[in-house]
Amino acid sequence: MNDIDFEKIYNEHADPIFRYCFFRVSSREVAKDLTQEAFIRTWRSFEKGQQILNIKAFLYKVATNLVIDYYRKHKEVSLDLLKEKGFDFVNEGRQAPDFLDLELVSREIQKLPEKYQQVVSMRYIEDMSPKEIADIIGASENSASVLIHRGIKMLKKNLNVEDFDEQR
Amino acid sequence: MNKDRFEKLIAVFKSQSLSKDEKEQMLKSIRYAIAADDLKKETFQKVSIFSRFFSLQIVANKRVFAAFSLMVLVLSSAGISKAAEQSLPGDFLYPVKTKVNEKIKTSFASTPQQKAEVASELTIKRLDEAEALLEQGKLDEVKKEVITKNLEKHNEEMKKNVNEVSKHLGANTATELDDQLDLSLEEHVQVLDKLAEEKEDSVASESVEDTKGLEDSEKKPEELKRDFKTSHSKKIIKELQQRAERSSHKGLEREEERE
Repeated sequence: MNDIDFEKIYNEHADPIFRYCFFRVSSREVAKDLTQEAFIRTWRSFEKGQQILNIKAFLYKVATNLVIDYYRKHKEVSLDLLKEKGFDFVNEGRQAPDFLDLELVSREIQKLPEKYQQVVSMRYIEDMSPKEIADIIGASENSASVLIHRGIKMLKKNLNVEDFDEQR
Repeated sequence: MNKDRFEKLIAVFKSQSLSKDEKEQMLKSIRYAIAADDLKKETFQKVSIFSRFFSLQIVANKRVFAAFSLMVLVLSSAGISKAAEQSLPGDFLYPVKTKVNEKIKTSFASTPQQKAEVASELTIKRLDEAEALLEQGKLDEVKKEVITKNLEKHNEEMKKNVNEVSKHLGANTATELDDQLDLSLEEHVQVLDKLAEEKEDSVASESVEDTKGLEDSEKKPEELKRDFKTSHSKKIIKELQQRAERSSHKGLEREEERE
């Protein structure tokens, strides 16, 4: 992987990886750090001669591991603490009620079991296909679909979302 | 929360992205990290190449490594070994002198001729020690025993190597070696006499005891052993005395020849 390739990969995947991390940790700064680290680790794997067939899947795998590590190392990071600090959403003329609801969604996302958080963020934030998600989490397309369905059902249920679409 | 609201909130999450500045800054940081990695790798490679080369050298030549360690050991203990050179039997450093310094000296002599020369030199050294002790009035039985034991060892070594020299280099060279020792021994006749004399005394006193009616067969094993040792030591001293005597005879002969 030469410099041009790397820059191309970075420009293509930096935002999605950042969003994925942000959805999981609800902090811009932490999400930025994790994104950066994900790219560095991916580069190192290239350097070691590891064969990476699907760069997107690889980046998501690395980012997922980093998020898990982050929560393991920072057990004290609770949603209450995040609430104290305030959420890091970029304030683009958003109103206070929006923030309160975003906070609520964040909290519910993070309450989901790890495997559901992963697939829900990939499916709903990045609009990835179940096939792509299945490649990343190392499961069959069918079980990925089941996880997505259950995850979003669980999230909507917890948020008391009325009339949620079963098909989605 | 209604469905639309939920969709809207999800859309907010979807809309999150890095600003242009953030993206550039991150790319810069990643490049730094990669450059640091490369630098680390280069340094590590240099170090590992050096250490591998060095360790290979050592593994490839264990003898060189052994000689090197021995040299370090010898050099570091040079002070001790130098001090030990001046020591006498009974001194704290005397074992260093005989068991380290002289062993090294012996191991550096590679040919039988050199070995004989070293043995001859060490014989004289032992007699010098005996003389020094005699002067200081410290030549007791224990120290005599130590010296005699060493003399015996050097004598054996001497004979063995002179035989070898005689076989391979001819009788003349062997005689020359013998003569060298004889000549040196001549200067130590007095101390040899002293060593022999004392021994004879102790043997004599024992033989007096013998006449008191104790038969050899009735002697305890330790006593028999001591007798053997005494007579053996006596033999060595006698041999050295004979050598010294032979030398003085030769000297006389030479004097006569000249006349």
